[in-house]
Amino acid sequence: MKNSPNLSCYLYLKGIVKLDSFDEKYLESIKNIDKNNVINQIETLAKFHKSSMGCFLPQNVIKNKIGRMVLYNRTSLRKLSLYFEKIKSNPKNSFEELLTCRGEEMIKRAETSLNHIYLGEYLEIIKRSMKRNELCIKNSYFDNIRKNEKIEILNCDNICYDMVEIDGLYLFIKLKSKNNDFDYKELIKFFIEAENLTKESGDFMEALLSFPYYFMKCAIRYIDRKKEWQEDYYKKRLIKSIEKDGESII
Amino acid sequence: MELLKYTLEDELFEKYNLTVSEAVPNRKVYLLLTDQGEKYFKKINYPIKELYFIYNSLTYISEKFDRVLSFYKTKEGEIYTNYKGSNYVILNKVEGREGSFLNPVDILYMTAALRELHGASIGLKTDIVERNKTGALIESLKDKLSKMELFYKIGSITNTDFSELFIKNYKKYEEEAKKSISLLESSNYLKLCRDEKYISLNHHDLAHHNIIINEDKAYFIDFDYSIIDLRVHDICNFINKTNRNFNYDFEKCNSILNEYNKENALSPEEIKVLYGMLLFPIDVYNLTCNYFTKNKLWQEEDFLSKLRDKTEKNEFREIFLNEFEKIC
Repeated sequence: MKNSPNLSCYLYLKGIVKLDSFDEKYLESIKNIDKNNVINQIETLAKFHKSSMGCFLPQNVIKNKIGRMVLYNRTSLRKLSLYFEKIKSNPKNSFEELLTCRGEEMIKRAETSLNHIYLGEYLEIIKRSMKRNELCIKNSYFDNIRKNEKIEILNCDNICYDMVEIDGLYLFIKLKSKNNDFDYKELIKFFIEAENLTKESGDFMEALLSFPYYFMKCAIRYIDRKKEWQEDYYKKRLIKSIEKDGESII
Repeated sequence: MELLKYTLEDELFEKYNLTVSEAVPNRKVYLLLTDQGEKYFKKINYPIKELYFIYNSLTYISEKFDRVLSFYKTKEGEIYTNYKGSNYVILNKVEGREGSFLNPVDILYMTAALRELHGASIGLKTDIVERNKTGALIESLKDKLSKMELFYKIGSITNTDFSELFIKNYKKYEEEAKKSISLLESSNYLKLCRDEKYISLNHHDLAHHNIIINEDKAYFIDFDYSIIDLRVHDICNFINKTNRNFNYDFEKCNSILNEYNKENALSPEEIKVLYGMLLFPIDVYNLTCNYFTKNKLWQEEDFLSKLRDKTEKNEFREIFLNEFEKIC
């Protein structure tokens, strides 16, 4: 039997090496991230994208996730909006009180984010990604991809067909979650330049980065009761989520 | 399991003058690597006259629309071969990748292709009762409703979580089913069925993996379930498939209708019939049917989780249907 097309082989041929772990010294160095580190990481991602795009491996090897993030956000928003309408006049516990208090503002912010995306060049960005067969690593943070002589990655299980912008967004969302107060508009500009993308891609990234991702995630977890947490714990998580989401940049 | 029933022997492939170097399992078929390129090898589980229905239908539409599967014929020019008591076909591989319902661009390409497929098949007819469903919908839905009533009775005396959840929500499903039937009865459904411009070849199994995207075009494969019926039947199935996992988003449905209507737009009567079709809780019916008749060998937990998922989406489905009603 012929071997199945192998992702690691494909990446290796493109100058991307899969490692089992990064050294301690490096891991220590990424505990405090500054702007230069982020710019370097953006350049690493751009190199990864440039090297790996044009991939033709089948979908049983690499999943196609184009459109997933925006659709996920849209679905979350609809779910929260419906729930919010039900509880807003009669919140049952401290979590719902907080949700009632901050929900409207966050729903509005999420709607604005999605409106910007749909009124922008979203479909054209998708078409570009499809045309170039762009690959995303998904976990684009420092603890999964770095550049030495070659691009080095640890986990390639989540590599998928998607728009390269999504890797930039994952990096920025993760940075926001660690309460890093960067100028994200400026970082998006760096990303666009490094990837040689258009201004419309920048608008798309700004809109998507302004979506209250962590707030939604926490609220949906509560609505679905996927985690058996107490209301107070949900409330703590929701407060933390609001901090993580930071301010909208659109 | 299905693949275990296949016979993979050189003698069979010799009938096609093919040298096969490898057979790779792919869903319910084999992908063959041959000296004539990649082919799909498929066992046919329905009568040969129905296979000819598919072949003749695809030949009929091919003048106007050729983005569909094609048969690789035997040395004698036959579209199938009988080997050790089973019928097989070999199909040329359609190049491209599987479509994705997550991707709005894919959905637009799929919709455009569906419109073209339907347009190309106007005038197509068949005498095969199993493949001609024109005019049969209302009776079929009545039959499904009576089966659902039966499942309700069985569920009432069966002590499982699945039954309990189904019983709890049954009245809502029954109400939707009755409203669907009543709306179709009062609509111009039968009048539409008498006018060939509304009737077309329906693919009837528009799962994402049956639609291949190559550059900016969509191609259809696997016509095993294809029928002749109102084109809105296919559109109804497509809207359900693209929406069911994403909380029944009316905007998504609207973008499908807008793309479809770019040529030979759906008439107001068709939209009303489409609404009647969408109203029927077909997903719940199919799931409960598979559960109570043991059609699928899924675990109890799998059935329950699927029903829970559908139940959780009831509210979104209701909103979706209310939005749809406004455009009727």
